[in-house]
Amino acid sequence: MEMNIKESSKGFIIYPTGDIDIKSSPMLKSKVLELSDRGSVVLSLKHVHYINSSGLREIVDLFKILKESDKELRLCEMSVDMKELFSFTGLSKVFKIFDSEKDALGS
Amino acid sequence: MIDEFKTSLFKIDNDFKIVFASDSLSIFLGISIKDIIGKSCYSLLNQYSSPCKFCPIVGNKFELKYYYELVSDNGNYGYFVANITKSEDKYLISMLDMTEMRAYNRINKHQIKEQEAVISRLKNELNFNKRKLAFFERSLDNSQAGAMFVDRDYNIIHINLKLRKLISLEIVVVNSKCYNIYGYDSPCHFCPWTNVGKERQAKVIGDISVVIEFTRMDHYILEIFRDVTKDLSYIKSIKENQLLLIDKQRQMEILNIDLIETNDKLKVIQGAMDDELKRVGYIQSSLLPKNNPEIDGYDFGVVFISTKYASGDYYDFIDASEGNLGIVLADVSGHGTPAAVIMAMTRAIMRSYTLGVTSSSSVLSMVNEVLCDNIYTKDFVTMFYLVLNIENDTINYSSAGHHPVLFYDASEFMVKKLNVSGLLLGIFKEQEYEEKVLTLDTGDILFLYTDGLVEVINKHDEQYGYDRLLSKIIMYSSLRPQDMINEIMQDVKDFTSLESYRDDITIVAMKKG
Repeated sequence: MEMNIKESSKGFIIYPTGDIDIKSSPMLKSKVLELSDRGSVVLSLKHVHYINSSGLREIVDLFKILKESDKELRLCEMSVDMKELFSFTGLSKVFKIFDSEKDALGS
Repeated sequence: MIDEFKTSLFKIDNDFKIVFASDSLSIFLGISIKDIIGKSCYSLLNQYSSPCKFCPIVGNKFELKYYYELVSDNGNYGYFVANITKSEDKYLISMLDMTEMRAYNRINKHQIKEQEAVISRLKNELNFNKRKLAFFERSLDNSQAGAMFVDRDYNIIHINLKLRKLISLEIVVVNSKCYNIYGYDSPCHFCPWTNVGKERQAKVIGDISVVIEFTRMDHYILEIFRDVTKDLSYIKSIKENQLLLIDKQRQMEILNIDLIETNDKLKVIQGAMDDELKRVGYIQSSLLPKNNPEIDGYDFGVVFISTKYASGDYYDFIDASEGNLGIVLADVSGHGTPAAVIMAMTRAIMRSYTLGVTSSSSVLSMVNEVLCDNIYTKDFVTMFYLVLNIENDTINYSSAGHHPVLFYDASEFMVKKLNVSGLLLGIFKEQEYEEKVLTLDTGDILFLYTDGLVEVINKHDEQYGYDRLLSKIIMYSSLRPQDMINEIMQDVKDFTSLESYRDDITIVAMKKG
């Protein structure tokens, strides 16, 4: 998985590319935690093809860790399949999910 | 006596008439004294008809000396210095013959000029040599190598800057001998003056190591110093590194032997762990239903494939009493023993909490509460739970993060998703789960599966996929559920052509007869 990061005045946007699975999720997790100490973090999933249960496990764990320090992880630009995944797993009610990165940064 | 000094004398009166003449004047002029007496001096000596223009008597300048040349009628030449003294009314003129002296002077002047020319030439040569020497010295000073010129007596003629820097400057004192540079008080044992043919010598001077090259030039020797301290240091370092490498190599060999031994031990441990996992797998298998339910009007089929001995998948048929059958399909995130433990725990909770509870959503809420208190890892459980009411052929169903169960609607010949949402189990407490109801007709099929099925990949890294699964369900919908599952698994096997699956696969199918 590749990972690009954009820094704006309102925070960081991380763009993981490929699959979020047992191999790639630890790297993503450590990067989100590192950046969350410096500002708000938005995870854009527009280049993510697939998240398996291991990837989901790390994202949920990330949510829990951030919540302990009153931080949040915003998600945006999900594909239809990804939205369905977050919907039937109930995670769409846990995470703040936005259609665009502009909305995610602006709120 | 006067004549012996070659001095010609004559005396004149106020009318410039000669009243006395010495023999020497007579001889010089070739005229007898009696012929001289009475003649005027200017006519006799200069053939003038009146006193000479420069005559000191006329000018009354007796204190001056007068130089003049005379040529007599008989050809005598003389160069004289005349001195005039006045005595009463007479004037005594003494003429000192300077002819030879002037000749000598001329010779001396010529010799002096020649000597001056020689001196000038020598000076030029000296300056040229000085400049040449200065050029050589500057060249030597600019040289990257240390250098010194030494003469036969071991004197240092020149020592360049580099060599001064190379060695301690303090030891190069005035009148130092070359051997002082090398730290000796007498000529060195390797001295090229005494060792004919000596061209090179290695030497340690203070903290530095040098190689000196000797070049003879007549009575001098040029000694070039090359600082090899770093070179020797590198060589020493390389040697040390080589020794270190040899040592490391030895250590690696020992380590390798150790690793081989460890590997063997690990294989034994791995074997033990595999045995342990097998036992866990056996226990887990024993927790799965031994037989499918036997209910009139319903037919069941299952498949349970674990990628490891212990799985994170789980299914169960639970008698929920009052003519209700609970069907559960769950997937614990992760694999191996931790997942198997959570699976066993979930099974026990389900069995404990479902008795007398016919609402699928209520069951999931209760199970979630207990799991949240008992899962200490990052794991969670996805679960689809449905309760079949056998008497009225209805099901109520809820999902905790599980992907939608597929429903083959026989009346429409199509597969639908039973969309119902609810949070994964074991993450946050106090969750409510959506519950929906569905009535089953003849030929309808409920197809419950874990995501390992659609995520099967082939060697091209392509997924088996949801669409392919849908088409197979429709294709084999007329078969009994177990046969349909077998056909689908054969298709999966043909698709992947890999020896093992990436994830556990569990399918539970129920068909209304």
